[in-house]
Parts: sequence; C-alpha cells; structure tokens
Amino acid sequence: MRFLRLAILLTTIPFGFASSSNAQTTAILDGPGVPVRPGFKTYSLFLMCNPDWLLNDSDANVASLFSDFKVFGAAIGDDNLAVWFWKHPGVGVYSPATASAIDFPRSINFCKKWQLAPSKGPYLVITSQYPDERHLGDLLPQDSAVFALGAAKREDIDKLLVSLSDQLLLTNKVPIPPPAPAGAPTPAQPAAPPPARLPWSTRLLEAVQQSINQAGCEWTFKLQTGAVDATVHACVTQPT
Amino acid sequence: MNIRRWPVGKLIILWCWWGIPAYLLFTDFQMGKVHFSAGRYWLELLCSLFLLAALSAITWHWLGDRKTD
Repeated sequence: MRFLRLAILLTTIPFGFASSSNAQTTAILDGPGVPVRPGFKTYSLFLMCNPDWLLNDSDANVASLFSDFKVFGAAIGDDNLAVWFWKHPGVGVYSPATASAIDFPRSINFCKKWQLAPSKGPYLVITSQYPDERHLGDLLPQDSAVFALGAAKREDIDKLLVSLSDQLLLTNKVPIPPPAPAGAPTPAQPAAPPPARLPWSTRLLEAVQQSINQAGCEWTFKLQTGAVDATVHACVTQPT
Repeated sequence: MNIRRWPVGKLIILWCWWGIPAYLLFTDFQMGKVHFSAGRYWLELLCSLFLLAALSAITWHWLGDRKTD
C-alpha cells in the first residue's frame, strides 16, 4: 500500500510541476520584496503610478484593469511575462482587487526612474530587458514601448491589449506603439538611436547582418527523386 | 601521383563538435539587434567565422590524407 501511494505521488508530481510552470505568464507580485522573475523574452509591467487611481472611487477601474491584465497575461504565451504589483498576497482571489491594495510605491519607483508622468498613468510598459529594480536605469530600456492608459476608455484599453497580446504571442518582441487613439495620449519615449548616429562599426555590422539575412532567404533547395519531391525554403520573410 | 582521400568519420566528428558552436554563434548574431551590444555581436560573428575557417584549414591540411603512388 505504501508503495502504491508512493507510485501515485511520483506519477502526479511531474504533472503538477508542468501545469504550474505553464501557467506562469502572469506574475502577480504580492509583496514589496518579491522580485520579477527573469528568463522571459518580454516583460509587460502594469504600473499604477497615478494617484487618482488610488482613490476609493477608482476601485471599479482597478478591478477592470486587473481583469484585463489577467486575460492579457494568459494570452501572451509562455515566453512573455505580464507583471502586476499588489501590496499583499491573495488580492483578487481572497480579497477584492481594490485601489488600496495596489503597491503604489513600487510602481512609483519605476515611473520615477523611467521619467513617466504619474498623471498620465497607469502605464503599460513592455520591455525586452529584465526590469531589475535594484539597477533601474534613468531612462527606459532601449527596446521598450510605453502605453499610457490613464485617459483611455475601457474599450480602447481592451482593443489595445488584444492587439498587443497578438503581437507578443506571435513575435515575442516588443510591439511598436500604434498611433494614439483619441483621448489616449501616449507619452513620448526615448527612441532607439537613429542609424546615422551609430558608430561606423555598428552600422557595418548591421549591414553585414542584413545582407546575410537577405542572402539566406533567397535560396531554395529542391529534391526530386522518384519517391520524394521536396522543396526547402531558407526562410519566410515577413512583410514590413 | 597524389591522391587525396577524405576520412569521413573524422570529418563528421570534427565538424560536429566545432560546427555546432559556430552555428550557434552565427545564429545568435543573425537574430540579435546589433545596435544594443555591437561588441558582443562583432565577437560572435568573428568567432563563428574564425571557427569555420579553422575547421576548413584543419580539414584540408590534416584530414586530407595524401597517398602517393
């Protein structure tokens, strides 16, 4: 009997780990010391910097955005992580998702470092670099996008999140911000340096990379035998 | 008359061991955004090219057994 229990336990453990690891694309960080987990291709941080959103009459907005966050986190796939900061565990599960449960100082720390005006928040910041809170730079990481949700209507936020989740799931890259819809200002973000300002060695390297990528996509290998006819394309180029 | 003979087994072993790192380096270089870390990608490109060149040289010089009639 003991061996039977052990066998059952051993057979269920791997499935338990598998299901828990696959469901970890939303990181609800419920405590000041809980770090963001590394190892993802992009990180989508929901930053609640706007003091207006801490008022009690914002509870419905917070609950709505948190609900959107959970759906968004599930839709972006295992390679991308969506992050939300609560003050304590169990918010949204054992206690309602309210404004008073938001870990405001933690979000403010990000907004201060990344020069995001709190009045236009909350923000959704998507970045490919690990957001290490102990070593945050004074500007946004280069490969990042900022979306100000403060003045946006719920329908606009839903549309935006659906669009972003599509791009994140399919490309695993930071999406390019779309033109701001009416009433939803998108703050200016530090853009990647223009190619002309890059050193010549970097431009040369980029040129080499592009040439190799283009050349790599141009060949096609055809195998025609009596039994098998196969065609191998080097790669499929995406329209830009 | 010189006849060059290629030992297939040795070739496969050599190119498998060193071709894989070269391939990985080259793939990472191709997929990366070079302006974020130009030094790293330069190093990857040069290392992968060096590995391929070294493999070719080793193959030609030491693995191409010459037999003289």
